[in-house]
Amino acid sequence: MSSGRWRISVTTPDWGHDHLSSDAVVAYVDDELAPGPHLRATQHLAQCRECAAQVVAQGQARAALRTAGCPSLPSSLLSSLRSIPQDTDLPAPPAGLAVTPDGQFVSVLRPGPAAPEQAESVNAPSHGRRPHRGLRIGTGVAVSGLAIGAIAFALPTAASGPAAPASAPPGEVRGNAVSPVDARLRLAPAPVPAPSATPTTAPASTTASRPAGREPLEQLPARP
Amino acid sequence: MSEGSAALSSSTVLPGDGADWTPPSWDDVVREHADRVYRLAYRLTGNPHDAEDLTQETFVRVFRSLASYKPGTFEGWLHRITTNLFLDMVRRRSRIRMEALPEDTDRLPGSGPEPEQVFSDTHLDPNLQAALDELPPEFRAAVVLCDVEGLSYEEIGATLGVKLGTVRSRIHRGRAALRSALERHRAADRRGTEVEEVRA
Repeated sequence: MSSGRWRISVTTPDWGHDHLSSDAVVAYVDDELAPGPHLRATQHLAQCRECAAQVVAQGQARAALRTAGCPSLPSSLLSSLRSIPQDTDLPAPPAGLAVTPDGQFVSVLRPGPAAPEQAESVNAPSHGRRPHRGLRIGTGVAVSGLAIGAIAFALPTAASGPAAPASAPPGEVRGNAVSPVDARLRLAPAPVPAPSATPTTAPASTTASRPAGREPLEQLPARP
Repeated sequence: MSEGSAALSSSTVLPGDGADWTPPSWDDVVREHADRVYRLAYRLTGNPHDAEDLTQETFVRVFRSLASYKPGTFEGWLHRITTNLFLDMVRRRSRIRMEALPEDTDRLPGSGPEPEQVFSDTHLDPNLQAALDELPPEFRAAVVLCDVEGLSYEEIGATLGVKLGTVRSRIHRGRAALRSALERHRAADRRGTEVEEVRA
């Protein structure tokens, strides 16, 4: 607190007739005046009832707040605050950070994020630390898989006939169901303009995309 | 994450066994600062429901931006986040408030306070909170940071992003308004009890 800041806080140096500015009154009450101005204000207050009354009024409001009790933290809120790391989606990977006393953040759990997570999280839904990202990709795949499935079904209606028996047992599909869809996202639009021209290839794509489109939907709710 | 923090907290309570000092876990951060943030949130919002929301939002924000946190005091950071979220909330709601009376929202079913809440609420001066609630949010924030949190003018200026002169005038005018509102509420209380006495 530099003393220069407060040189203007008193309107004029003529203490007998003028009053403390409201800024000076509040700063006096909060003991935010530098020693010099504080002394001058004290001298003024000793002989000015008006300013003294203002100081008392400020002090009363101040004391009312400072002495008031405050409700303590509800225990339910405390536990929900504690579980924020489990419930919160992180934009960056600071999950393992902690605070040092001097305000530095230190990585305490992992030295760095798992690198090739884009590719990984598709094949390994239980990738763990960033379930939301995996979830988002999974949802995207599911939606586009469904859309493509719908296109494939809509075009050659007869294709659904051979598709059903040709589909692999669910156990086998589950393992690599997701990655074929990725390829088909790009391939699928191709047969659209000429569905009748390539009737033999259409059932093949339908076979793969239909169970693939379903798989993520079945897996999603089960994912932790 | 849960295993990680469990391991962390167990290692923080055992500082002795040869290991270097361990940084606090999320649990430690919450335990150390939750009371303060809730108290600030309560005085700013004026009711337990909003105070809980504001506290929760503050800690979520803290958790999300731990990585981008620039060294400084953690308390100052918390004050800034809480106060700014509060002012955002007030601005967002200013239109909605026109439609619903605050008395009505306080009595919505399902958001009742917990027993411990009721207990501590009865130990609060309802007139004081009511008087505080009447202050414009910016003035309330300055007064609360000063008299509930005990911050210096300089810290309040940094928290609110305003100059010292603005801090002084907000506190001065805020306290003056608070005091007259308090007197008005207390006078109304006295009239109320007199009326009841006359009736009895």
